[in-house]
Amino acid sequence: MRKGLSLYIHIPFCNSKCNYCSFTSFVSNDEIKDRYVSALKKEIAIRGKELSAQYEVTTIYIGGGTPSSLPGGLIKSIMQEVYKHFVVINNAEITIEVNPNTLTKEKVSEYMFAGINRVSMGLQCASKTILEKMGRTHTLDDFLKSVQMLREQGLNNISADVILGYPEETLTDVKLTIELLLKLGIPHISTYMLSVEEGTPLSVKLNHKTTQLPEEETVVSMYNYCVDRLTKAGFERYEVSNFAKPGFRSKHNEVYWKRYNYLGLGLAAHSFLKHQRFSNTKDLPAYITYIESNGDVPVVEAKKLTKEEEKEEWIMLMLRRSDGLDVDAYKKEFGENLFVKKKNQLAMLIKNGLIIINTQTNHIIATNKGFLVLNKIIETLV
Amino acid sequence: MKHTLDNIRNFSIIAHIDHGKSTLADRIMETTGLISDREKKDQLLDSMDLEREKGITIKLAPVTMKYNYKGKEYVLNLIDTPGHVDFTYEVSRSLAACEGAVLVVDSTQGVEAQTIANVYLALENDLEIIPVINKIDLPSARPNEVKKEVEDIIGIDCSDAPLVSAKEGINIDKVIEAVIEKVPAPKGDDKGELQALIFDSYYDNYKGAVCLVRIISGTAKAGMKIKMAQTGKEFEITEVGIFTPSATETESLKSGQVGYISASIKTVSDIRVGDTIIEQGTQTPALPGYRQVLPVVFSGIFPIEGDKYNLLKDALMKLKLSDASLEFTPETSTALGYGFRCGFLGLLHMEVITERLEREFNLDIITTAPSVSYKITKTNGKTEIISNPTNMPPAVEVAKIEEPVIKASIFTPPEYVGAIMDLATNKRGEYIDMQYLEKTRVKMTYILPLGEIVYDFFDKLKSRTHGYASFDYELDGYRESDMVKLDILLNGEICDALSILVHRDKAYERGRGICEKLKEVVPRQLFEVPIQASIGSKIIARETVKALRKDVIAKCYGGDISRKRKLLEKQKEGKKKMRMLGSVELPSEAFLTILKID
Repeated sequence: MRKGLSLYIHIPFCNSKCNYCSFTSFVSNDEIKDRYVSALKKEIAIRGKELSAQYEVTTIYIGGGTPSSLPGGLIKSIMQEVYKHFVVINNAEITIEVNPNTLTKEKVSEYMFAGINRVSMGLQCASKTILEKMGRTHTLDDFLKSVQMLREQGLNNISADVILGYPEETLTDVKLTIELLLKLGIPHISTYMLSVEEGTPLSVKLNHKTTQLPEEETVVSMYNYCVDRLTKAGFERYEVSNFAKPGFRSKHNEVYWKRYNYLGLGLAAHSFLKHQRFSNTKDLPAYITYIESNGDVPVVEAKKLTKEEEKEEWIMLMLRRSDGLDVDAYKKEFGENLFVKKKNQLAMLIKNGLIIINTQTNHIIATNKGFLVLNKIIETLV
Repeated sequence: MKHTLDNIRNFSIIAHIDHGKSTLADRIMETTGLISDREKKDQLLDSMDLEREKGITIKLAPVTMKYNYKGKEYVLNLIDTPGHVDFTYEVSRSLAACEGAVLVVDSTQGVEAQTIANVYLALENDLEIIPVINKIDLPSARPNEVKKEVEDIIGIDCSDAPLVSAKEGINIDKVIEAVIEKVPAPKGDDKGELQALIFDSYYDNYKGAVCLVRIISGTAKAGMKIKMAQTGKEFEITEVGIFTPSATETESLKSGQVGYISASIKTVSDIRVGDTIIEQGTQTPALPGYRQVLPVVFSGIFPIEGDKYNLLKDALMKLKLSDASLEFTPETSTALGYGFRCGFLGLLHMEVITERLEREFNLDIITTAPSVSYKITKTNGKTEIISNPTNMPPAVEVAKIEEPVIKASIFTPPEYVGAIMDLATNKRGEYIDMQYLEKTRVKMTYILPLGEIVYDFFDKLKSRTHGYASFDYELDGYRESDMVKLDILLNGEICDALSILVHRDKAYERGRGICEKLKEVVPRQLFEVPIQASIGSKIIARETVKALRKDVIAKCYGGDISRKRKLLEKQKEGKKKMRMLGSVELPSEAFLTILKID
């Protein structure tokens, strides 16, 4: 029997770059996009040959960049290559990331034809002013139209991304955004706190003090609002920044957190396979020419994790989930009882209301207060 | 070489900081042909980088030069002296090895506090003083006025004082000739019993600890069995020599000569500056003026990373090889782990040692607030000396605390007298005397607690007088004082490394200051952290560091765990530099910051 495998496919193109973004993406012409897609398809073929005998694909995530910025037909051709070289299970969750102003009716049909059954859209904020400040090129109207287009053709598994804590964003902006998504009946919402990455236009502005981040308490209240409001509306916070209606959790996301196998395809894509983490080059021309001329994948960083690192990752990723960290499973994997080894730290965290222990199931679970300082909790426990 | 004494001149150069002592020494060596331009680094005598950087001389390095004058060859021994009050005793021993001193006075600055202090030392040692007016090349030079100043304040005839520019090499020969003409030749008998004054020591990787000596009488040569008159330690001479300027072996060192004696001595701690080397089996008396140098400033030194304890220990032991005045004993702090309680001659000495530990040994260290030693009389009548606030007995057992005081001479232009009085009063000073040395210069004398001096007196004095005042001090015993132990509590637990002994009247102010400063440097934790200052069980100040409310809930995008990993690695790296004080994480830098409260 084949083991499960998830695929991440990276499309490193955008129509324009957002002010806060530090991900690997470029504003490129169609010729480059074509060459990239053929290289990507070669990589799919190479990896398929290596892995399809042992693995079957359970989830696929096409991310970017902006996958929907690819000219018509390319997504379909990529997916066809996947089906050709990998065994993809029935009902596999297949997600594509979409920018609200790049979607057309034709593209929706193309995606559905390609087997895509989930769409993640970066709304970020419902406020026009904030969208402009972020350097997003879409409007709220684009988003509404896109949702309508998807639904018209029966694609209802939609997720929306919301950014919390962008400069000048207010609690009211967040409230309006969440209310709008609820009204639209979007079943999956991701709320991310802005993380300022060096070298982005935003970080330059912050360094020059021409703009400033909202107060800590404001961001805290934004997050708390999301938790309260969405829970009340029947959502479940299944991970620190992800909320889903029953049945709408992202299976692909859970693969990352549960440390299941996944293979990244395309530029700068990251993989985790057989206890090894590796990633492809971030250099677009190098990626294309390497595959074209060598017929091999330009892996640049490969790392077999040490036991210590495995432990750290386990703690770091499991605690992101509302199910928490299974102490028994951890013990089975590493032969260590966290209740004993981290007794004092756990006691401190419990005392301060940051975690609870489910004594029935032996899980360590972050509280709402704890989720807000998760990095620090992880630091305490590793 | 036939040994006669009348062609030998032993002399020092004394000056206020920056008046050009080291530059003049370099020019003298050049003029006598000892070093060429090409091979000299600026200021050759200051052999340690640190000295050159701070522009001060710490280590003494004597040189022997030859100079032909009026058809006769003279041997000139120049003994450089450190230029800081921390090292007054060393200066006095160096001067004791000479018959004369060149007094360098900056023609743009005039007589300064240290000029006078050094002249007094030289006069105590009966030295012939040769005034030299330096920096005459500068447009602001006022040589005639300065000459008059020297005559008025110090009372030395300046009518034929050479006017020089050490920097430009002007009239250097006049200085050398004045030395030959005026400094008396050493007296003594090279056939008599050996009597050699140790004025310094250094550590050589091959020879071990080496004594720098002035032979007062007799002759020293290899193979001779010697004894240290004060400590009674015995050795056998392996080598004698002079500095030209590098150590050069000679057959013997005879009375009047200045040079080195090595005798397989393991550490410089076996060599006491001011001690006298005599031959074993003789009853030759020790030379007068010997004093055991005791540290007056104490501080805890801890490695930032606990596993560097042994490296720190090795480094201190190596420094001790060449610095007999450094003292250290192991110390354990609940906050800082294992480290050492170190004793220094003064704040500068402390700064030099900590910088050397960091630079030469690449150690990251935490230094606790400098303190002094207190004499505690307990209610049971017993007394003890305490140099670490942590060791202070509980208040109920203490009958009396005495603190060391100094007699400070502050020299200042009259317009700052008010500011200085204010400062001295603020520092619990006791007014003794005030003298107008001249129209533009006042000498104020105060008895001040040493503990206040090691705290921030230097800086305050400088800032209040715009750098015009200078001061000198000598220890003046112990005085009873109302000292209390001020503890700092983090999250309710005493942080021993932050405890200080402070005068009751200052306790509130200091306590508040430390709490406020700590509030700035204590990172927010997962819980609220109260910062308190207390005397005994009484809380006198409080600040609060609010709990951390959020960090960034970021995407785990495209399975790129490496971003998360990097963040975690960064956090872990940061954590390494943290100290756990009970339940509170505190960055090591916090300790340094706390030292700099004003």
